[in-house]
Amino acid sequence: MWLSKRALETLSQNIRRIVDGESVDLLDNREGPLSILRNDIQTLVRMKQEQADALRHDKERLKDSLSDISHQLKTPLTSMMVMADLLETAPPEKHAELVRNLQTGLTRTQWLTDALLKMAKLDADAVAFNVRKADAREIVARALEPLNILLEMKGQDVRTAGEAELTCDVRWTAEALGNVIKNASEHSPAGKPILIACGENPIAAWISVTDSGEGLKPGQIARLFRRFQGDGTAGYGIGLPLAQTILRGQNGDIEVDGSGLPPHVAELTDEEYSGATFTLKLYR
Amino acid sequence: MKILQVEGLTKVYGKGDAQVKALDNVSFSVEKGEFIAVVGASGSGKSTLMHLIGGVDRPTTGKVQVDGKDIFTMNESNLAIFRRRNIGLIYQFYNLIPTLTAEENISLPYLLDRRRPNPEKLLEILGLLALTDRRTHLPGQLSGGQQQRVSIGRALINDPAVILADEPTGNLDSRKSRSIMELFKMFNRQYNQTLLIITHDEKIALQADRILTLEDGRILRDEAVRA
Repeated sequence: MWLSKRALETLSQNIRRIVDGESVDLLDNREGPLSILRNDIQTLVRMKQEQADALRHDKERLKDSLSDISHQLKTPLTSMMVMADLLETAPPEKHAELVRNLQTGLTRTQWLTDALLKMAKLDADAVAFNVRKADAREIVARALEPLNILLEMKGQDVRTAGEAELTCDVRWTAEALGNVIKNASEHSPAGKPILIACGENPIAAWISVTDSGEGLKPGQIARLFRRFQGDGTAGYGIGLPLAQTILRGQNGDIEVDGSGLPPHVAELTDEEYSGATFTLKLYR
Repeated sequence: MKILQVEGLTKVYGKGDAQVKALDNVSFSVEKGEFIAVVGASGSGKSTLMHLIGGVDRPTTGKVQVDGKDIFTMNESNLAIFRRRNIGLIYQFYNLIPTLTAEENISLPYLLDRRRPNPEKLLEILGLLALTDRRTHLPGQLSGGQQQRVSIGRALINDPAVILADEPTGNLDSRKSRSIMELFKMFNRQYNQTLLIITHDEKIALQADRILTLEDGRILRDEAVRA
């Protein structure tokens, strides 16, 4: 093999220019090892640039999320301060109501700070997932535990279908699933059922939640997982983004089918559901 | 980081009265790691768009930049080499080489440069595509779904800047289509692989992050499906 000294020198100069931050096209797209080397270097440069971009993107997101968080916390705090002021001057018969309002505010703030801290931990990769094999039923039961009263109050029956074994962190996955079920409950009318199905295929094991609501349009689906952009009717836009972060952290994802049961769920039930289906997937 | 930029792309076939504008001033850009579906009825220009981005055909006017490189400034042979090293192509009818095994077909982009892929990477991809026990089979001994998975492996093996798939599930039943889409989504997430899928099937398109709708050679809509 013969390589010209000049070609090598030019290549090395060009690499130097890239190191110094210039954008240089290394490719000459010919046959032969030198051209392949050029391509390999170009691929490496592209990967490095991608990493740098991801880092910058993360930083921007952190900045946004900090200002979102402070806004999210300020609103309930301000209203509680007003309530406390009122409590000082209000006649005694009003006290019970004001204290109840204060308590509601505190509970919500507590939930909020909890969720925000979890999200921050996940973002910072400071969560060590305790991965093991678990029956889907165990995860579903755990997710339903804090929600049973809510579901009973709304008369929403939870139906289940299918079976699966998932390799995941049970506690975190149940947390994610719980947020998705809570969302399903909020968007289903009272007295209508919610379907929780699960299954496995060669690519992933999954648990899905289908509600009896009105379904979702593509544009709405795009907004679901953006933080602090809830639809204004329920929640703060934290539950679903948190669930997505948890799944992605474990090499999984959440898929949404806006209306009509997707095939993987439809084959497990004869019933009809009007609403959207959220599928939590964990890749193998 | 913009991995693909399409600027004012126009393609006119024929002359005079018989002139047909297959693509009419189409512009859009794609960020690294995006998963995009291009939809439209037949005749809307989506296949023409795919051929131009893939550098298989040349436009009447307009530019396509892949990873910052204006691909139409290259001559045919340079473009062919650029394409096989930087663009992964997946077709409806697989286009596998019948005399090469599944493993060799996947390795093809490397074999053409007289080298071999990293054995670990090859094994990983065979595993993800569930082809490990079919690696020494010839295409004729594989089912349609398996052949399509081989062609996906071939598109992925050398970390191309972008993968273009033209009706990748057009020849498969709905169940197999779904599992092929699952694979695309997994590769998109796992390797931050940029994907552009052309399809006439709305359901398939809804699996992507962003949908471009073409009509009469123009972009009718460009909308995000998920964040």
